[in-house]
Amino acid sequence: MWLSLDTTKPHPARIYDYLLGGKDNFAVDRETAESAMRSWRSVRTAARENRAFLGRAVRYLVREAGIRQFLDVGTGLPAANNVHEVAQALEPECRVVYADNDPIVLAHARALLASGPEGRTAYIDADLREPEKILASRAVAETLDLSEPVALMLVAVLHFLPDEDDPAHSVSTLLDALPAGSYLVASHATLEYDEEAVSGAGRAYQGRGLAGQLRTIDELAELAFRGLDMVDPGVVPVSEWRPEGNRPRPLPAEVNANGGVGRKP
Amino acid sequence: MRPAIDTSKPHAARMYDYYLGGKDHFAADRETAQQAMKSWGAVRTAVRENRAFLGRAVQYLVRDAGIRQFLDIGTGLPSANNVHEVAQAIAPESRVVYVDNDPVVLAHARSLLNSAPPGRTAYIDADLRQPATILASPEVKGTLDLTQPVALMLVAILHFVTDEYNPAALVAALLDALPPGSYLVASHVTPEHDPAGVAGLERAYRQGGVPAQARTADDFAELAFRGLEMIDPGLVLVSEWRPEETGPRPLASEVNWYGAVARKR
Repeated sequence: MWLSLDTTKPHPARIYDYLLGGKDNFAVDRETAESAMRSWRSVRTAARENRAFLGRAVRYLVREAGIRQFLDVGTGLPAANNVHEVAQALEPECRVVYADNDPIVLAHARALLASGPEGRTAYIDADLREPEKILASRAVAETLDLSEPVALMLVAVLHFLPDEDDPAHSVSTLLDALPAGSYLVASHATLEYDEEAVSGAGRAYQGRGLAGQLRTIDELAELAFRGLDMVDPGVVPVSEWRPEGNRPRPLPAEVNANGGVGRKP
Repeated sequence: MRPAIDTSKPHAARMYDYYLGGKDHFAADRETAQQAMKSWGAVRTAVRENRAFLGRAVQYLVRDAGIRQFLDIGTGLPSANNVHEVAQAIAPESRVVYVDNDPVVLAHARSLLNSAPPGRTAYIDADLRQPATILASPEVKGTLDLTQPVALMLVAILHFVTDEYNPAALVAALLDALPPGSYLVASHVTPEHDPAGVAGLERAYRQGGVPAQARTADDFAELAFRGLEMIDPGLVLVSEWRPEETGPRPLASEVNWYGAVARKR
């Protein structure tokens, strides 16, 4: 199958890949990232902290919450510690459906589909703005049992949906399809710790055609976690969510992203 | 007698504290550090990686090399994971002598001296450029047994000793006083991976009256480790020295900092 890749426009998945030191990015992605870095200098730290938050959240869900099914929307390019790798290292029967809207992620999806034999993974080329399409997909139907709890992962994706895209509708449509005892993991960039740096980075993205909206901790809580029971410590900078080890952590003004885990009652 | 604190000039220890998110710094320290960050945007990441390297090196020495004595020169302000805390968590009888030339560090030395009973710590207000003073001090004599192996810690300090002070001779004078089986842990900023960024930091420091000299891997090895037996993996980026986490690590151009551990034959 041929994919039509537009290499003249940056894509968040490829920018994130570049920030993490990956190789699946184009000049326009690197340029956008470099431009963002001139303002938000520690954005690479932020990308790594977000990725580490994802890993800790998955371990919490598998180890302490008994979750064995994941729906990860806005997966990004395969990197160290993809959801199924973290989850299946603890419980090999874990199942994961990945979704992303970047054709280059689809092109690399093989690495996401390398599930251990006891578990299962699937990939959908889809967009968070079309939650109904995700839920109706064969990948979801064949991989997940929606009568059992599922963890919905919206990690570093909601800030690419401005309010006019109605992200609250996407979140509630997806959560409504999941049974009680399901979880939501979400993280989101914010202006509240270093307004100048982050707004500069936001302009770099917007200037190259990437829409988005930064939201505060309260706005994230309202958009994503309303009506859910928050897992301790609630919505916090991603680096402060159940950190492991005792090495020094970056400041909120470097990370500029909040995250949390909530349980559907 | 307390040496006078000059708050009008920046000091490396206080800038390091500022990068790590500590509170023991003055306006002059913050201004110089912020100037440096404009050029080397990820310096906070680098400082954290250096601090984490220090912790892993101490763990290695206590756990795998049987070291129980440390001489830590250029300690800096007390922070998470001071040498005696890391060492005594594994071997409570570990003894540490701390040395720094910043009166602010002296003022905070109490938290370096809270050794648990079977172990012991001491503090000397002295400078790496006076190795004879350090070695002849009552603190060294009263705390360390120089007939037994000692780990000499020169972490993030040699780049503040410019060539005119002959740092190789200083390292040799200290190592000569230690018996075979002793170790050297050292880390050093390098210009190799981001020449412009690191040069900007050197300039900012020099303008603040803090001479600094980044050195290449070869120059660092020659100055500190000549004649010693290198411990695996040798001289590498501090972030790549026996890393413990599986997630993505910062890029060489963010870290710009080498470290190594070596054994005296």
